[in-house]
Amino acid sequence: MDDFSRLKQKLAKLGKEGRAGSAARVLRGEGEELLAGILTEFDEVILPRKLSFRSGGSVRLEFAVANRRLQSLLALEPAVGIDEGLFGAEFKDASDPKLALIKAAVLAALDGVHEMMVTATRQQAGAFASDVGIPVDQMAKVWALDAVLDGAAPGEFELGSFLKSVEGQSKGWLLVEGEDVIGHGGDVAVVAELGEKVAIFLDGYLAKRSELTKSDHGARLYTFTSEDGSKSMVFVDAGDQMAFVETAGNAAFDVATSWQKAMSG
Amino acid sequence: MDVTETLDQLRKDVPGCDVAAFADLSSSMVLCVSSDAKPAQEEIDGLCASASTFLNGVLAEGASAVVGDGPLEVAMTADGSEARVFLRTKASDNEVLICLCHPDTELGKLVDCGRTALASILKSE
Repeated sequence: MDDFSRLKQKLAKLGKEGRAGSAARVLRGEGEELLAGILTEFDEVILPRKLSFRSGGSVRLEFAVANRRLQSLLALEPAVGIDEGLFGAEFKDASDPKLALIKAAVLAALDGVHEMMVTATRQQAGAFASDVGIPVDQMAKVWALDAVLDGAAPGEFELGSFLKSVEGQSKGWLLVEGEDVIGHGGDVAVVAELGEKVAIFLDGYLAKRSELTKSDHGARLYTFTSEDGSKSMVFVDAGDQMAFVETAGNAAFDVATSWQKAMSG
Repeated sequence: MDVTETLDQLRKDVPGCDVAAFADLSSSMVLCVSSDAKPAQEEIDGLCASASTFLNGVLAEGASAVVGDGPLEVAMTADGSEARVFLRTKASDNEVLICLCHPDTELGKLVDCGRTALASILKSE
């Protein structure tokens, strides 16, 4: 059992319940702007995930994504001008003629759509080989979205970079993606204790998560400070990733201020 | 200063603090609000419910397990467009201060001034 075994057990349990990494976000835009936003979502996915995009109406898109690569189109509703036999087909290189058909079909489906709910869930194990997929930068070129994409994500927020930027204010931190602890820093004992105790916190948080995030449009930060003001926890729920930071009491408020500036930047 | 004046002063002292409210969680009532534009009653009720969620119940219990057993003093939530701060003191578990702030608010300063404001309100009761 390593330092994070209890947290990993909790995350694995949540994953089986379909909750880990499934926080919904909202993507806004129209036409190619929305499509560029979808590519931006692909660019944030490392572990194999099924990304679903749903409008308030009947539009639904599902993609298999891993390693910042589009692996396959899994579903498209309405399926306008596209052979449903393409669903689930692997993409292996950017010259694949299916890509142009898919762009046209997705844009047709997005006609009149201004907002989509984004959710990420785990792919079925072994659904696609690890070398399957087209990198997002190549997708942007093939779909001629480079310019739109460049303007679509000003100051894109990276949780890992943020954690490093506030290391001076933290005693220890953990970065979780899906069911894995993908990074940690700070005092070893603090990090180990954090790994033990945040599993308890997640029980309470997930019981309230839908209530807390019902009007959310993205990542959210929380801080909690002890009664004597000596110790704080900062928690960030960014959908696929979560972070836990332990700080001295008041340092959490500075971390929160930095977060607000970074997010609104 | 009375409660309204204390809350008004807090908002003056901390730029970006749009709403400051004093609430009693035991009765789920907001007792006093300071704001340039009076919030809708649903929003005020929602603030009180949020304060209860963040400072009491399973969420707070889980957070207490990390920061030390016992009640929480401060909880906040922020999404890049707004921050909500919930604050109480050892002197009174149920009477709390709630603040809604712009993203550029200095939250450390807000908590410091909020502690002073809440202590002043509780002392004057």
